[in-house]
Amino acid sequence: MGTDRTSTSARVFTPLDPHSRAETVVRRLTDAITFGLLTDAEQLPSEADLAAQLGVSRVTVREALVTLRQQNLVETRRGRGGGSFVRAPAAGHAPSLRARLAAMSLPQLRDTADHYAAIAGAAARLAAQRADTDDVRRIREELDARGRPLHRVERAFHLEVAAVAQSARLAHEEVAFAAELGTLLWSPIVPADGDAFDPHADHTRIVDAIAAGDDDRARRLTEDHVARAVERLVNLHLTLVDP
Amino acid sequence: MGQTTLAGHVTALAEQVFATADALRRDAEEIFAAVDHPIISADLTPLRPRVIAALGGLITGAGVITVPLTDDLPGLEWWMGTGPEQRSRLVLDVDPDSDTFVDLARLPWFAVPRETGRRHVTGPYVDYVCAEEYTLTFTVPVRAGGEVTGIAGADVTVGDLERTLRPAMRAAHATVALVNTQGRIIAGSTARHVTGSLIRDPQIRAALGVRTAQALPGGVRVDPCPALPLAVITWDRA
Repeated sequence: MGTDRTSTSARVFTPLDPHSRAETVVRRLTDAITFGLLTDAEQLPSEADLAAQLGVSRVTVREALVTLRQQNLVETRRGRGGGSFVRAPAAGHAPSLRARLAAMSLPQLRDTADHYAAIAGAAARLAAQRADTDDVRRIREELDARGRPLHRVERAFHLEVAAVAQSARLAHEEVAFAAELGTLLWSPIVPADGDAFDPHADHTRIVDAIAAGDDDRARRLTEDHVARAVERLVNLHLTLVDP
Repeated sequence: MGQTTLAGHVTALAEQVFATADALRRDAEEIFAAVDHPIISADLTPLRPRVIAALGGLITGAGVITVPLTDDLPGLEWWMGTGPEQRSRLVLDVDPDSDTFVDLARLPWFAVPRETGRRHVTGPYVDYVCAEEYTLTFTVPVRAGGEVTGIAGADVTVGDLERTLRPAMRAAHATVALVNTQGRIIAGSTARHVTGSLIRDPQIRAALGVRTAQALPGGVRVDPCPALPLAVITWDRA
């Protein structure tokens, strides 16, 4: 690592492109609005507060708000009682997401996730023991349908794995979990931690292990897959919901 | 021969379940033939008492389901539960944008009879769409105006079938297993042949693809159930 240190650190410390920072703010707020973490008509913090909370300059915040106004996701009113207000698209399930994540304590979140990792891991292990080639094809088909939101792909994928495990109870638990925490756990709003979170790549590896009949590996990969998603959600809980 | 008795017993049970499905098919086709307008989902409502009458005994679910009709809704008269108090009507989420959307085209008990025009036994499988049970589903195609528009069928839980077959399995006086043609065990007489597991032995798997009775080396017999994707495997105790 010692060689070429000057040029490496030079690249690391080049100034960030202010436009990309504004885009990041736009993406963060768009996701929050789309997924109901910010509700309709809710007032955003002032420019100065947003800048301080997000760790960017006021200019960056202003630029982001212009974009959001153009996208009709934010409305700015002048004068007394003025400010920037969320204009949520008329989406059905959005507000409950915010309410649920806010109402959830971290120990509760961890416990739910542990329970789920046990379910999904056991299902993957049994599926690896019990799958035939048709079953593997069916699981892969669930992954082929592109363009669906991640939480729906996850629900279909893990439900099919539980079905291939030949377990009605594990399938039942999958359905219950998808309704309880699935939309939150796999929500695209949660900031991804670099390359560590690639659920689609995880799925491919899990099916490969199931196809190979490698039950221990299928279970471990599934547990890791859930653990990474939970880590993301805990981070979101800490940074986005708590003031 | 015990195994022949067992295969015969299974065949009689399966044909009885298919007869129930077929009666519902006939009723549905008569209804479709009698309406004087393009068929809509509500046309199937008069079938309800017959579907409910079909429930009971081994049959825990039954009914008729079609592709979306001229009102864009599938004809759906499928009921579950054996006694009046557990009875419930199947509700399918047919909105493709919903999280709980059920794509009938991907469900073998619907898709296979619809695509092939022939009857089908699905399972054993986890029926997470209907009763969340480990099930066998027996379905036959339903036609309207000469086209296959849906299916009529009946469900039997694997647990009920296993219980029903237990005396015949004991009477075989050998290690026996009822399997589907993929080699998935529906019921077995030992803990090594537990429900849901897969027969991995390549010789037995190959024999399951052949629809005649076969004796394999090592004292193994494979007896197919005639006209059904099911077979009985017998291992001599010797």
